[in-house]
Amino acid sequence: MTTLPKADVVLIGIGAAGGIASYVLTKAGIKVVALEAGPRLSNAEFAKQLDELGGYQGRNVLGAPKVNHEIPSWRPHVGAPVQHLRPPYAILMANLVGGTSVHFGAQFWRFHESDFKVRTYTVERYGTKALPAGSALADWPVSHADMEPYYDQVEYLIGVSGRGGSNPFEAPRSRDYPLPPVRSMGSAELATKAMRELGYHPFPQPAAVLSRKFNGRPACTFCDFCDGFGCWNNSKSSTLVSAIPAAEKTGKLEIRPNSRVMRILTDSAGNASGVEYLDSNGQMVTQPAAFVILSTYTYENTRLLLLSRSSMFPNGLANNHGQVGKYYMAHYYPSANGIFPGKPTNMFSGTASQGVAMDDLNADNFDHAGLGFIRGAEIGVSNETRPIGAAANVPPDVPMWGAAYKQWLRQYGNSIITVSGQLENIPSVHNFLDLDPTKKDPLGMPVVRVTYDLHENEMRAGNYMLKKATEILKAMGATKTWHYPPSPLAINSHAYGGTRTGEDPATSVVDPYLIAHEVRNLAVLGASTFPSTTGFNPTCTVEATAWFAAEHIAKNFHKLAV
Amino acid sequence: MKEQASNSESGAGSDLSRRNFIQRSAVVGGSLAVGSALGASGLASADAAPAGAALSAGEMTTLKAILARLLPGDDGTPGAVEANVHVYIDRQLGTAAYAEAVPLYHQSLAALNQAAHGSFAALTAKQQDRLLQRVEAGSVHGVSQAFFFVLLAHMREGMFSDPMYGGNANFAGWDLIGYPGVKFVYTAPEQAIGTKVTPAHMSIASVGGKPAR
Repeated sequence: MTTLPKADVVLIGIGAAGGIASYVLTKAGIKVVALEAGPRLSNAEFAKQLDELGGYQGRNVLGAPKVNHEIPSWRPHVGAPVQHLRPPYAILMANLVGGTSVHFGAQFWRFHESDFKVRTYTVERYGTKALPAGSALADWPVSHADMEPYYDQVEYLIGVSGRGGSNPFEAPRSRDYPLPPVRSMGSAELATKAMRELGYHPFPQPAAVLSRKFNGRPACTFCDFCDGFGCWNNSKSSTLVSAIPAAEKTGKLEIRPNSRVMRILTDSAGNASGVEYLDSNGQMVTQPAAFVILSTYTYENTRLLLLSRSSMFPNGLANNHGQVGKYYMAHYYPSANGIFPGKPTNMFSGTASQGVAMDDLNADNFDHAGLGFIRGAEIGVSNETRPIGAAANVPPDVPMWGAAYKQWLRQYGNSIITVSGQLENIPSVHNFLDLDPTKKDPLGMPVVRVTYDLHENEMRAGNYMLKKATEILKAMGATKTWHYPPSPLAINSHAYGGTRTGEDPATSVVDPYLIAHEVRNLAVLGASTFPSTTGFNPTCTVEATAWFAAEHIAKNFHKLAV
Repeated sequence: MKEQASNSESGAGSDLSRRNFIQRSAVVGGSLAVGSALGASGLASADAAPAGAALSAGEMTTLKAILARLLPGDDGTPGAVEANVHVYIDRQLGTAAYAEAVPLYHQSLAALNQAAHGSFAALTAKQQDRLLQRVEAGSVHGVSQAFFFVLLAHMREGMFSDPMYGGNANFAGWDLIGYPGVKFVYTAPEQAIGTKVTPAHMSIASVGGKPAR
């Protein structure tokens, strides 16, 4: 096996979190070697991928190098039969330089002040009896005030569109977004009016999509291929077109694409000493490093730790307290649909981050007394539907085949508007990740097994949000509405937990700076570190916390590095 | 809409029958009806087999007869057969990603013919609809509900995917549902409610796109 010269920092996975960390570290003068399992692609390749079947409905071409072969298995609870996902499904993980930030829907939310103190706020307002059974709800070890400077720097580095102050529930911000909101569209205008009539406070969604030219990149053209696709126009603010090229300009970032890390190595003192990886020729290579950053997606962050056993860490790296894999969380997306007969609603256009949102029923922004649940959901209207998905989204009383089905598609296929949200998932001792005892990927490595279900709090809150979404549709003028009851989306592009951050090694894996409690020269970045999901998309906070952690690592590099 | 909204609605509940649950689950991200029906191994990783190799001529006759009822073409606009959905399905079944479904097709098409006393295609349209309703309800020996829902999912894929995959001939599926086709730019008026967007009738293949495996 080849052993390469020692690197300052080896970064496993250069996506949303890794891309930001590489920027912060190299700007501070630290040399970074980034190992990325996927290739490096550009907008020229993305321009040939405006294809729903390839990008979204089952093929997931951007996941072909790795994740498509290691889809986690799922069981709702311990003892239940394990199920394995098969196509068609949308499994929105990607392996390429820029990672999931290349194909995400680009809604780019800062969390609330109360999100970071979620347990304290809940108990102060409703008492400990309001905590759901099995809850592992915890405050974050950092506050919104700690994060605000990093939110701000991320927004200005990558280019984010929005209007500061337009959301009355938004936490204080030091300055406005760098770009005005992206253009509105018909469905959002209709929803805005209806939400106001109902007493809510709608506002344009914050978007990591350019509303104007920014750093040489052009504004979005609303092509309908954003969520699940790379941007052919360089208008989506992925790390691939923002942080990563800026880091490369320092001359201190070396990216090795098509390099799959198999194991994190440790020395006899229990420090991380580097990684073993399969290089682009399929050769196993050892890359020693003074500091290791694990910044893959939620599932792989847990999996690589559990697979990196050693005599010092017999149950997996940084897992001597048995916390790796705990408190897995995933969003449920309450969605209600309405028909607006005789009018094309033109939902087959735009980007998922173009549209209107309301924050009135999210977090603790409303009084939950008597509702029987805590926390809530951001609710909004976006476009960007596509025909294969739309053809499956018909009301329960309409047949799924035959002349009546065809007639329904012709009459209403382009006359639908969907109001949907994302519901905060309360962390539970019953929801966790471990290694599947039987299923392996093509290299013989066990895949992740997800044990996850929606519990009573999510069911009640989910049904409540469906009711509210339906009221909005009716106020918009929908003549018929429908929805399906809440159900768990176990394998999810909004997946959280497994390597939770906290002060206490007995209940968390990484410290407030996202450095492993048990390994001083190992950091874990990404939504896997989140103690709670919030009712917002994760990526903005993934990038802000990565910046926060990387800055700490850079400042203390000589103390932390081995 | 959130990141998976178009794929995330699923589930069973008081207002839905079990039948509907399975039917709708088969197409959505978080649900597992198709998966558990088709087995437990990982996704195959090899490249495609030769196109059009999966089903025999006789099986194609049966498949076409089913598709003609699932999305009929007898109302003056193209249905699934006119849009070459059978071509799409046969081609996909010849690829590694769909290989696991091939035995299910072989077995189910044979059992369906048996239930039709020899030939499903020879039945009248009314008889075919009645038999398919029984399949959908899970009451035809050897033809599982799971197969029916896989077939519906494949029918939607073939009808509404980019024509480069072999179905959606002449953009029949996109015209049916009002999808304009691949367009790189939407103007503000084209995103207004009530605007009829002129169909672009463009396949991504026209700018170098290739079918994904």
